[in-house]
Amino acid sequence: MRIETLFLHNFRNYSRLQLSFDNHLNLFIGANAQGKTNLLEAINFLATGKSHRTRNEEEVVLWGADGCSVAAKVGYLYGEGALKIAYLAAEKKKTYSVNGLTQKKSALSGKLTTVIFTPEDLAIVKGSPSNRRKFLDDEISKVSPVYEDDMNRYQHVLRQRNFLLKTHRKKILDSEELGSWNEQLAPLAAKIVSRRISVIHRLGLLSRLAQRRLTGRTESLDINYLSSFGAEISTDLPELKELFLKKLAEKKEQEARLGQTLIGPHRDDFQIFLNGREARLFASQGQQRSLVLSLKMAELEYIKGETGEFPVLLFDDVFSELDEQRRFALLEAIDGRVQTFITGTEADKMTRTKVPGKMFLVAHGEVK
Amino acid sequence: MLYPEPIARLIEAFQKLPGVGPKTAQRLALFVLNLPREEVVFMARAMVDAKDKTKYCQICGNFSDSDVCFVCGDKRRDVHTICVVQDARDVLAMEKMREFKGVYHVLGGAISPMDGIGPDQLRIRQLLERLKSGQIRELILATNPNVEGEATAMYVSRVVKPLGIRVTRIAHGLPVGADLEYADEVTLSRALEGRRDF
Repeated sequence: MRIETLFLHNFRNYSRLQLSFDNHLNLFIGANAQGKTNLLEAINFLATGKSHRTRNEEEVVLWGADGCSVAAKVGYLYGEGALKIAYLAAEKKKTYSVNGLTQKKSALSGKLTTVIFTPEDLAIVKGSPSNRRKFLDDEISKVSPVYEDDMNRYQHVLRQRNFLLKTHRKKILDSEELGSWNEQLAPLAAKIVSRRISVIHRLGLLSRLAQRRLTGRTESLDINYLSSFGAEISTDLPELKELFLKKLAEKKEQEARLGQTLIGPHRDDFQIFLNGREARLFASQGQQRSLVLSLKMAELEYIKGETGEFPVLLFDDVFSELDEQRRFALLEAIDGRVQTFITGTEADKMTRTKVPGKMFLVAHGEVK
Repeated sequence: MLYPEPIARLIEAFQKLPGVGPKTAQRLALFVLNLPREEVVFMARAMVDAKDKTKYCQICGNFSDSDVCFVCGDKRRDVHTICVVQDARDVLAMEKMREFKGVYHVLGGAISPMDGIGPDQLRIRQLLERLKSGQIRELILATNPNVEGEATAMYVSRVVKPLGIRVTRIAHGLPVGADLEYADEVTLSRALEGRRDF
């Protein structure tokens, strides 16, 4: 898919803006604090319904305005569509529309998919397990609304169960009550872990290929899912559910003592290995960057495989920090297939590559 | 602006109503001030009367104006089948259907540890008492299909199943009359999970 035209109204530092894009490469060039990242944020906002930079959504509204909107004309392999999200700050309410008709949020699902790479993404390699879980959950949610819903329900059941464990710490725990929460938690945990294991397997294969391509075959990458209840390669739902319930029973005393649920998808992680060594511990800054890049490239292919369309690729400030070999390999890999948006401060570094595209100069909230 | 004490108290009182914030409460309070006195007395008395005169059915926990509600007092109902619901308003929803001939049991909520509600806060003990009579053949669990309602249904099922009584759960999935193509992915996937032999 590709964004043909983007319309912003009172979004961040843009009061009104309309931009038409190249099908392949679009560069936003300008000094710091001019609004380059705001453009990527707007695209991602339209794709996900939220900002990736702030939890406080009022921040995306232009100072003094009471709301904002982002809209786009999107072209697909077959046909095209018009998407729009309008946000009213006072009511904290968003309205979604597809082809001019107001719809539920779910109607936008899959209409615009993005893969975004920002400097914060280096935490996927070096950061805590929660960074990696978030990466994985976000990726799967992009292709599966059902997974997203399972995840939300899992979190809800988990909160209730933890509350029960916490408040009953001193009293005797009603095991029938705990059991009825377990019965709800287990099938959800099984579904989530099963999906994650199969996605990790796919991402592992795809990112290994991407890593070889980016590094000229010198580095090999492996990914391994780490389950908190001993799930390994089986993705069989009844089997995972039984295993989870069994481990939960073993942990009962400990959970009652500590007042929280100790196993499940919310405690899982995955390991990234670079040439057989765990990247979290050994990878250099540059290696982390190319590992994350490989994961993101794998994600592009994964989404394409699941949905039939390549997502739109957004690079925030990261591109210029890659070395020339990786920049070249990257542009070659996406050449002509993936619409890409890149922000950077210097034009010359990026224009040395021969890929055709459009350049936008961003200064003081204006784009040329 | 600071209101005189009686008005401020009224505003505070209105804020206790569900879905009413400070602004709406203020509007309602000022509206009440402009009503004729008898209207205000009528409203206040209606509230107190409703509170004082409404009883709960001693058998099922439904709203009632006497000791036994209109369902439990009806000799034609099938007392071998009990439909378990969260609230008395769910009884009214089921009754509107006019298809269910059994009787009810109102739990008075759903299990939710976050809100401090456990099995002891619900009318589950009374349900088990009713089941002791030995004439109950089926228990239909009609709690809401959300996380708390599901947990409540599972709990009741766990404590009742050992008594050898048939326990069933109402179905959920696609709404009647809906087209498959218009159902969203999540609804469709739940309907698929709940499929049965045909």
